[in-house]
Amino acid sequence: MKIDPTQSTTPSVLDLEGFQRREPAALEAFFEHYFDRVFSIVARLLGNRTAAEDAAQEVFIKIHRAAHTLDPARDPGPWVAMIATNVCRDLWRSAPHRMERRSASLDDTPGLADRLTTGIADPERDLLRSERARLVQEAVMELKEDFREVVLLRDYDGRAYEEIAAIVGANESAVRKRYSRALAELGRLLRKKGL
Amino acid sequence: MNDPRIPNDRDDAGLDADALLAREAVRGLRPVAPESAYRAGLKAAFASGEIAGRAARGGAAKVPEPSILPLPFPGRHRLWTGIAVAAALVVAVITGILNQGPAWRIAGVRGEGSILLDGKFVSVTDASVIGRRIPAGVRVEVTNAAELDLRADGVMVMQVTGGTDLILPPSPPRWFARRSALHVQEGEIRVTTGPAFQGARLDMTTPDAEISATGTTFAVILERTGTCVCVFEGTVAVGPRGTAPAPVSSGNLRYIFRDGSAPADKPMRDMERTKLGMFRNTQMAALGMR
Repeated sequence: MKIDPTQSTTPSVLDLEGFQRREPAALEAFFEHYFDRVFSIVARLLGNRTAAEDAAQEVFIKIHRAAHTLDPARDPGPWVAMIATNVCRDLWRSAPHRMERRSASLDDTPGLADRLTTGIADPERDLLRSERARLVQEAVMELKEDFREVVLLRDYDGRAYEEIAAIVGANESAVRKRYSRALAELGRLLRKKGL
Repeated sequence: MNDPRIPNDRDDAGLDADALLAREAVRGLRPVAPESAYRAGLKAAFASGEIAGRAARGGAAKVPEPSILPLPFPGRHRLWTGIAVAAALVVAVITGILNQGPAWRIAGVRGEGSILLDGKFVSVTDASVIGRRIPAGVRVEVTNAAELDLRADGVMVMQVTGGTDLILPPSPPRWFARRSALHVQEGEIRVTTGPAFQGARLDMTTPDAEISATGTTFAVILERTGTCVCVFEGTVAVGPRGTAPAPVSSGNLRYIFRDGSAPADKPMRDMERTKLGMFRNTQMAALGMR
């Protein structure tokens, strides 16, 4: 089934019924559409590239396993985000020591694709930007995990409160309050870091 | 951002400077790109289905098994579990308290003799005792020709006559487990029930008999030779100890012999009919039936 883009946020290139049947072409298109976004958000949530690679792989294992349960009439985005955040939560819960490693690898040593996206050959500006990003990520990692989650889902992943509520399993009002408190806390942390 | 669906800022009106700084800082974070080889390998595995085999072989063992449904944070989970358990206990305790039947109160004293409540003397001529609350579990002893009326508002009135010794049970609970049990060792009591008794049950035992009432007026008279149960209104189930009680209809009595003889069923004695009738008539108003 091809989703009508006027009726859904699901891109029309996705064949969700084929995805349900785990047809290779549909799976490939699905991966292509969601993987980078998933990798990016789990990397920011976990603050570590290696952990992000493990987590993203686990997310797509879960997606593959649950493909038949997807409702083709609905945007899979929140479903994917929910799986991704749950994988991160499981990591936080079961292996806190793994999270000891800080986030330097996310912004100090970007991959080839990341370097290419910078687009401008200005080493000094890139360095400053990278240092700022490192400090911001460091501050994000100092947030409580539920604070980090709502801030990143809202301002990094660009999700609406309603979606975030569904993803984190809370009501919208609670998410709004949590987000507001999280931003205030993050602002204080950033000030302390001189930003 | 990979997918620049910027949230509606109008939702966040009123953010202070620190919060705005934080928001813009997070929005300014660049996407984190995966290593291309890793991405390509995972994509191929996902499209071919080989990724499912990775899971089966423990290929993703670095990451613990997650659940698809959102899970609360562990600390939260324990906190909320604790709160839920505590709340359930509070609700159970409050429900248990609210479910209690009305308290027994002294509704009348008369005659000659003495009334002892847990060994404390109550004068049959002292009108000030009327209305006094008597807690369940109190031992009630009435001697000679004294009489004591105990009332649980709207539920029942129990008239305890001379020569009776019993432990006062709680009145039947209000909503559930609506059963009250009373053992009478000797003496004579009369019971009449009110509208709030509906749905409840009063089980009584004597040395000879088992009695079960579900809304009625009746008397239990213990004699040297056995227990007589006289039913003025409704139906009361009566049988020897250890057997299933059988119903006795209004206007009749069943006598359970202490020597084990077969129970005797007869029409109720006139004297007891009169006493029960008077008792019922005098207590109807107290039970809210007039």
